Amino acid sequence: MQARLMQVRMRARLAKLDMARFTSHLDFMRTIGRATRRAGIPVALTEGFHPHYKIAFGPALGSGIASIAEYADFILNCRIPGEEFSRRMNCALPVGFEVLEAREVPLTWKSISSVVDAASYEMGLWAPDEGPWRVVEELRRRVKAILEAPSLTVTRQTEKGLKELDIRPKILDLDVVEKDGNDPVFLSMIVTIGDGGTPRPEEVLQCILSGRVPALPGQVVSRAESSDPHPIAVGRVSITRTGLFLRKGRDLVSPMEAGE
Amino acid sequence: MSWNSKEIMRVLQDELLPEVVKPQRYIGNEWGSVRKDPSRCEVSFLLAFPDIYDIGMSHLGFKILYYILNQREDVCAERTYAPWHDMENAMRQRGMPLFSLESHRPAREFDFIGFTLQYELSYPAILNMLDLAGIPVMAASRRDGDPFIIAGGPGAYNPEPLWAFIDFFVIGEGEEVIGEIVDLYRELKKAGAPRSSILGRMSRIEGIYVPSFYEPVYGPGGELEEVRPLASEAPRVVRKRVVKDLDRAVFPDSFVVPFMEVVHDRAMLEVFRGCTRGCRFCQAGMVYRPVRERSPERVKELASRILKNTGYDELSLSALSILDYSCAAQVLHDLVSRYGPEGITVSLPSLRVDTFSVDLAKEVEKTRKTGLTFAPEAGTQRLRNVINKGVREEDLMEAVRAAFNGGWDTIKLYFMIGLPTETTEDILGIARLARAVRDAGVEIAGSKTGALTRFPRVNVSVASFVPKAHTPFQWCGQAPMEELLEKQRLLKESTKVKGLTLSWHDAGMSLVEAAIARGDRRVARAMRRAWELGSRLDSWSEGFDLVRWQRAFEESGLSLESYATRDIPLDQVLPWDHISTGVSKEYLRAEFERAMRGEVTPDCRFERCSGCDVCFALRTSPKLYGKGVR
Ligand code: SF4
Repeated sequence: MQARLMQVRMRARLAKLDMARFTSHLDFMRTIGRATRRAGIPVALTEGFHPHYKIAFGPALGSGIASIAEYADFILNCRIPGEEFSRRMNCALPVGFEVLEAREVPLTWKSISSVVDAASYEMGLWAPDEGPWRVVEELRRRVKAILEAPSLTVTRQTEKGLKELDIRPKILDLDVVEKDGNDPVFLSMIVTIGDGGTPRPEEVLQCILSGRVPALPGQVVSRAESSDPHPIAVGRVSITRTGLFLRKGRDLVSPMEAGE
Repeated sequence: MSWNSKEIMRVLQDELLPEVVKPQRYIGNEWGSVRKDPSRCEVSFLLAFPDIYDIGMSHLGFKILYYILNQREDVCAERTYAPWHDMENAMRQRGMPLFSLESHRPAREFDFIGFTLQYELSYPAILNMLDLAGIPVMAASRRDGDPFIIAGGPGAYNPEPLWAFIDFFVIGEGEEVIGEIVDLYRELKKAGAPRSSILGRMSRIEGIYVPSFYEPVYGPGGELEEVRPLASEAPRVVRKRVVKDLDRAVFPDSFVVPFMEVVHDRAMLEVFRGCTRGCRFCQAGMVYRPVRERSPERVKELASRILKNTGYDELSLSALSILDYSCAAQVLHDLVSRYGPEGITVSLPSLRVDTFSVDLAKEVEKTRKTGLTFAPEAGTQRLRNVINKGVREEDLMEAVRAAFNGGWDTIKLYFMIGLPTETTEDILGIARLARAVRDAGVEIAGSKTGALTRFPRVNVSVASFVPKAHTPFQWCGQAPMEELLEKQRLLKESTKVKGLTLSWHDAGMSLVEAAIARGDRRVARAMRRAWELGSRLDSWSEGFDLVRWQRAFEESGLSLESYATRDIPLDQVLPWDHISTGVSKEYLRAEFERAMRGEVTPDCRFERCSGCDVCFALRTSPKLYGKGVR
C-alpha cells in the first residue's frame, strides 16, 4: 500500500483568529483535516481497519483564546514545497484559520506535543467605556510583585472539587507592553507547559486585575488593604497564544527549528 | 441600543460567546457559508431553523434552498437557528435581537424569514425566535417593512395550528417555487406594493397558502364544516409543488461544513425522493409521492463534487428507504471502490429487512461494523399487514442471522406501539421477536465458526404511533397516554434478558405531537399560550413540560387529549382538506378500510399502480433508472 512510498513530514504553524477562536481543539483538528482534503494535499493514511489521516497536532488551546502559534505535523506521500502547501491550504481554510508558515522537517523528529514545553501569550486590555484610563504603572507594580513572589496560588474547579495550585514556578516571564498610547495595554507572559498545573492566561490575568497578587517583599500591607484589593476595571480583554517553544537551556526555540 | 452587524459581533465576542456553552453554534464563518454584501442584493432571505444549530445543520432541505438562493446574484440567503437556553437568556438580558450567522445582522432586516416545519414540538421555537427578533408574533400585527414570515416542509401539510403566525406557507417541494416567490417579490418591492397586495399576488402562485385569506366555518357542535377562501384570488384547494425530474433539479455540490460536531455530520446526497412502500402510518411515504430517482451517473458525479468541495470523509446516501434505490447495488459498489482507498466511508442510514440489504451493508461497512438498523415496526404478522409493512418474520430472522454471521454484534430494531387495532398479543409479539433476534445472536456467538467476538446486543427502540395528516391513519386517534404507558410496562417486563435493551419515546411528547399534527386553527391559540407559559425548545426533553401544554390547551378552551386521541369520523371535514398532496382522500380512505380488513397494498414501483392519484393530479410519474421500472 501507500505506506511504502517515500513519505515526508510537513510541519506548519497556523493561526486561529477572530470568531474562529471560539472553536474547540477538536473543531480545529476536524477543520484542518477537511481542509487538507479540499486542498488535495497528499496526506498519508494510517493502515488498519479504519484508516485516517496522519496529522498530529500540538497542545490544545482553550476556547476563546486566539492563536498565531498552533502547530501541526502532516505526513505526506510526496514532497511538496512548504510555500505550495501553505498556498493550497489557505485557499481551503475557512475565515479565521490560516497557515502562517510550513516547512518540511525530519521524519525522525518527535511529535510536537511531546517536545513543546513552553508557551507565550499576549493579553490585550482595553479601557472601559467611561473615563480615562491610567493603569500602566499599577499593572507594572502588580507584575513585579508576582515575579518577585515565591508562590502564586490559584483555585481551580476539578472533578474532585476545588483545588489549590501554586502556578508561580511555571511562570517564566511576565511583562507589561505598552504599544503606542495606552489603549490597549498588553501583558505578555511565558509559561512552562506539559506536566500538569500549567498556568492559564486568564488565571494570571484574573490575579493581576483583581489585585490578588502577593505583597512585594519589604512592603507593609495592612490587613484591610490585602483583604480588599483594588480591582482594575477593563472594557474588553483579548488573549492570544503567540508562541510554543522547546526550552534549550535558557533559550526558547521554535518547533520549526528543532524537534528532539 | 440600535443593533447592527458590527455591534452584534462586538457584544458576541466580548460578552456572550465566552460565557455560553458551545459558542461555535453562533459564530458562522464556516467553510461553504456564503457572505454577500447585503446592500448589493435586492432580496434578502433568512433560512430559520426552529431548533438549535446542532440539529438544524443536518437538514438537507435547507442546504438545497441555501444553495439555490445564493446562486442568484440578486439574492442573499443567510441562516439562523434557535439559540440554546443559556444564549437566549444572555441575549434577552442585553436586548440583543436574533441575528443571522453570515452577516450577523438582525433577523428583522431581512425581506423573508423562512422556517422549516420538521417536527411539531419545534413550533414554539418559531414564536420564540420571532419574538427574539423583535417581530410581531401574530401575522395580523405585522406591517409594511416587517419581513414576510413563511414556512414549508412536511409540517406545512397541516398548516392550521400555525396559521396565525405565518404570513404564507409553501406547500410541497421548494426548489422551483422559491425562485418564483423571489421574482414576484422583487418586482412588487420595486413598485412599492403594500404588504396586503404582495400577499394577494403570492396566493396566486401554485403551492402558496396564505392562511389569512381563508376562514374556518364551524358547525353547532364545534365541528369543522369547511375552510373557505375569503379572497377571490385564493384557490379553494392549494396543491403541493413537485419537482418532476430530480435528475435535472438543482442539488448543491457544496455546502456549509460546520466546525462543531452536529448530528449527521457528513456529506449528504439525496439519491431519490418519495417512497411508495405505502406504510399506512407514514406521512413522508404519502406526501413525497411519486418516487423520483436520480440517475446513477448524476449520483456519482455529485458525490465526487460534494466530497471534493466539502472535504468530508464520510458520504451518506439519503432517501426515505435508501436500499429501495433501483441502482443501489451498483452505485454503492462504485462509490466504495472509488473512495474507500482514500479513507472515505459511505454510510447507510437504515436497512430494509432482507438479506440483500445485509449483503450490501457488508460491501459498504467492510471494516467498521457500527451496527445495523431494521424496522419491523410491529410484533405480529397480523398487525404488520394492517400497517402495510410487508415484512415477514422469516425475512427479518434471515436478515439478522446474516448480520450476526457477518460480524455485526449490535442490531437496532424499531417498533411502534399504540397502532390502530393493536392488542396485547401484538405487544407480546414485539417482545417475542426481539428475544428471537437476540437468541439468534447468542447462538451464533456461541458457535465456533461465528464471526462474533462480543456478546450480541439488540437495542429495541419503541416509538408511539402518532396519527398524521394526509395518511390512511389520519382518522385514527392516538392511544391514550395511560394505555401507552401500560404497554411500555408490559413490554419492559417481557424483555428482561441479557443483551436486550429497550428505549422509549416519551409518551407525553407523542401526545402533544399528535394534538398539533391533527390540530385545527384553534390549536394556534394553545400554541401561543404554551409559548407564553415558557415553551421554547420542546423537542428536547429538558425543555418539554406536559403540564404546561395541558394548561395551555385548557386555557384556550381546548382539550389536548381529545385532539390527540379522538377517532375522526370518515365523513368529517378535516382541517387540512384544503391542502392537497396529490394523493386523493378517496385513496387514503380505501387504504384505511383495507387496513381494517388486514389487506396489504403492493408498492407501485414493483407492481401495478395502486391508484393513489398523485401522478394524475400532478401530471407526473414514478421515475426509476434500474430494473423495476414498470
Ligand atoms: S398514482 Fe399510482 S403510480 Fe403514481 S405514485 Fe400513486 S400508486 Fe404509484
